[in-house]
Amino acid sequence: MSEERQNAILRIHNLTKEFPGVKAVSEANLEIFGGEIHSIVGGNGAGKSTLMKMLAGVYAHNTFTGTIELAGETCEFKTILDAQSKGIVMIPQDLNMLEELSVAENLFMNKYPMRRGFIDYHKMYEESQKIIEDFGLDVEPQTKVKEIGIAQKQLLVIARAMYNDVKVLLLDEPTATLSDKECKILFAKTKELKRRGIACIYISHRLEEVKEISDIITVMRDGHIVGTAPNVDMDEKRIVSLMVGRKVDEVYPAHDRTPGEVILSVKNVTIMDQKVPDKKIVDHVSFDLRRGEILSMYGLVGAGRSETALAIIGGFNGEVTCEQELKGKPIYVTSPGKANRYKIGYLPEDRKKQGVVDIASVGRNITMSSLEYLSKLGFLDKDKERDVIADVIKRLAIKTPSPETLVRNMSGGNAQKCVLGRWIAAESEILILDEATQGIDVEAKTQIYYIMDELAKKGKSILFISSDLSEVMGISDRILTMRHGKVVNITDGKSADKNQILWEATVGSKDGDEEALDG
Amino acid sequence: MDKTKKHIIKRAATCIALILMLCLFNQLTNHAFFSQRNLTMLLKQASVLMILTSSLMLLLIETNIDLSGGAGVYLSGVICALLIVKAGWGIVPAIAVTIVVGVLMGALNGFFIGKVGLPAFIVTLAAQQIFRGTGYVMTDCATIGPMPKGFTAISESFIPPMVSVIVIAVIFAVFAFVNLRNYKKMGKYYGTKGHLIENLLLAVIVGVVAVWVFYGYKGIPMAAVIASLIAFMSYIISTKTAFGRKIFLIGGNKEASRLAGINLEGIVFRSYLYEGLMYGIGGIVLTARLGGAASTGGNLLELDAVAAACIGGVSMSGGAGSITGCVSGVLILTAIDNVMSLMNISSYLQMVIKGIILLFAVCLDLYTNKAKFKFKLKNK
Repeated sequence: MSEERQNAILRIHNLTKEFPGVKAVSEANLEIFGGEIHSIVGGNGAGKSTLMKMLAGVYAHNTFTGTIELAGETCEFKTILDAQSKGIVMIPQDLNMLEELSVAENLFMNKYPMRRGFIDYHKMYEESQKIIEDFGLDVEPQTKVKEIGIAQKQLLVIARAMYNDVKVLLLDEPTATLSDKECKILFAKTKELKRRGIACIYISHRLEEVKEISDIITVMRDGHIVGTAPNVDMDEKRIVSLMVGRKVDEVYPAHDRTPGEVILSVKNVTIMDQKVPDKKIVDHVSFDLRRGEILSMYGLVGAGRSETALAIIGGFNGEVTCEQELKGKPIYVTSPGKANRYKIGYLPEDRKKQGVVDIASVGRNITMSSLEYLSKLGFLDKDKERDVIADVIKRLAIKTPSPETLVRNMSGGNAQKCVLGRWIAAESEILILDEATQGIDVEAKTQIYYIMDELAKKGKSILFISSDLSEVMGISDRILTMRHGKVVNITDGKSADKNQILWEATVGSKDGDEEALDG
Repeated sequence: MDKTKKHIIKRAATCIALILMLCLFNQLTNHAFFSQRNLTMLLKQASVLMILTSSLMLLLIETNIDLSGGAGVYLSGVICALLIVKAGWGIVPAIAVTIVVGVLMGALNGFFIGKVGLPAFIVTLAAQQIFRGTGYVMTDCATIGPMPKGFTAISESFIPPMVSVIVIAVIFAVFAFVNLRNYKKMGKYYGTKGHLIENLLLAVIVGVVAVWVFYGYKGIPMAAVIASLIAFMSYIISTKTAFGRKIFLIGGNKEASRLAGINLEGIVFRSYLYEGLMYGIGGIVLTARLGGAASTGGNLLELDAVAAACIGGVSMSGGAGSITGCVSGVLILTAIDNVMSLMNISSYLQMVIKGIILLFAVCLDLYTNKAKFKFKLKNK
């Protein structure tokens, strides 16, 4: 330990937080130093977010045991504002911004520059402009926040924290919704915070970026801190084995599938942007999907992948042109219900909003797409339904005390398996999985990869939409790369070159560089 | 273990509160409340509300609403009365046409809400004006009557006491049989043994009270029979059919249900058709009970139905609710009405008290389901 590391800016001692029935965090001890990026990794339910919420005052000090020491002083936060005034700021997963107000008004929330008792808008806009330029954001200070993208909102929140007096910045999964380019800006900014002596606690599922930016890495599992070490001493294998509590040899199943004939042929999917005239969100996307194949659709956020998927199942809210052939016969899919009848299932991108019915039970979530064949003359065959549910729970190893358990009481990975199980129960031949592994822990991810492999081997076809290049490389038979609504390239999964794909998805394009510039 | 204990305490508390409330009612009304005659009247009074609430429940569960219920019931009643009194139709064809018209009214709501996609609040508000206005135009706001004896029998006749007892015994036997069979067959899915005993005990109590009331007075009133059948039909729809299951799922998460392949438009449309069917049946029962179609018929019935469902624990944010809850909501609301009338409280003051009771019921619901509610707020 060097000289300057002797005085920790934040010291937590024996922090324990109990929820009815579970110890979410148990006896956590940590020291956080100024000017360091300290990453905390762990599976879902490992207690990372709970720990962060204790530090940030989301949980009042009397609801847990243990002490938090900030710069040698014991702190007892009652609210988030208490923590903020002491300099601990948390950037939450779901951003709290005032959507109807402007960027500038959000940046200066609570601290508006005043002149003779009125807000000095001129000064506020000028200073906001500086911050916006500093962060390389593409917005105007007067723009309403509801009109800008999620990624830009995220950066705005971080900017807001940086320009307030912050000592410890807590970032909870900040990159989950960011594109690579935006991630780079974020990382650059985080490193700048580091130079200013601010301590960053960084929570992420993505090990690659954790490795890239961290100084110290702490691994949590089941509420315990199971390891803390400098970045150089923590390779990815060690992190993963600490996270799951055992050695992980193979994250991806072996590559020994042989896809058959073309099942689904999609031609000329085109979707116009409803806000900007003449702009196409999806532009003449065509591809074939084979029997027993995992075809990955890779691209950055906003490349038009989810929109393409929604167009295929007839679920896009808006005007779409799309030609499809199922086993050589043209089909017209006008609604997700019709897609289901053609045995096409879609696992949506946003699990909470579009995937699960969280106040319904596991069983009901699993059978919601197969109610037609589970009923006779409109009456449900409950015996048959129970069998189907039990079968899916067993096949997907869904961890639940009973099929009657509500989905909202389950972890992300298990909830996602319920959505996946829905299409297995519906006996879908074609599965479109949109960011199926986003926001779930490594163990559940691995299980999902193996389920996908098993399904493909049984002759199901999978269109796997993902922004995670390493999983795309690991699982695919073929990789389709999209950029700005167009298919850039389709390559073979085994021989694909990671850098080539990344380049194609980000800057490179067959159509010249004109579009690369406006991105 | 902890959960079952809590469950027992909650159940016991509800029972004690209910008994205390009933005793209070009895005391307030000088023991008039607990007479067999009064309880029979109460059930008759509750029947139209029960009919409307049992279908409104489905709409509330799928996060829709119906403000045109009272007006729909009124217009159905007017049409039925006009056909019989003015046009001289027979009872059976008049009833058939009335039911068809009711379903058409539901279809009107269902078309604009389900297929066009307009907000239910606005559409049914407009429909309320249209239905009631049409009724006024057709009758010039006059009362149409009197209805023939054969027609009023739909509500006013009784199943003879002896037959009533047999009917109750049969229902009890079927209920006990179904419960025992499910308990044996489904094992842990059914619930614990305590659950079984609780159900049977409840059935015994209800059965004994029912025998006492109906055997002691004139028997089961026909209006109550119809209301019970409708409630039973809604129970079957909400728990045993794919249609009902989809309604719960839509109420839980609309977008997820859509993407899972559930036909939102069709389900919403059909649920309004069902509501329309209840306009027809409700209108017939109401007209039969009053002996004619009065211009105030069904006034504010839609709001009473919302209140009853709410008191009965139907979630206003959708996705949860049960017919047993609705039945108790309807009975509580009607009992309060009944007690206040027996006490000679002015009808203006009655409105104030009912409003306060509704507020209180919602607060109580929020308090007992606090964890659930917090979660919902967070998600929004």
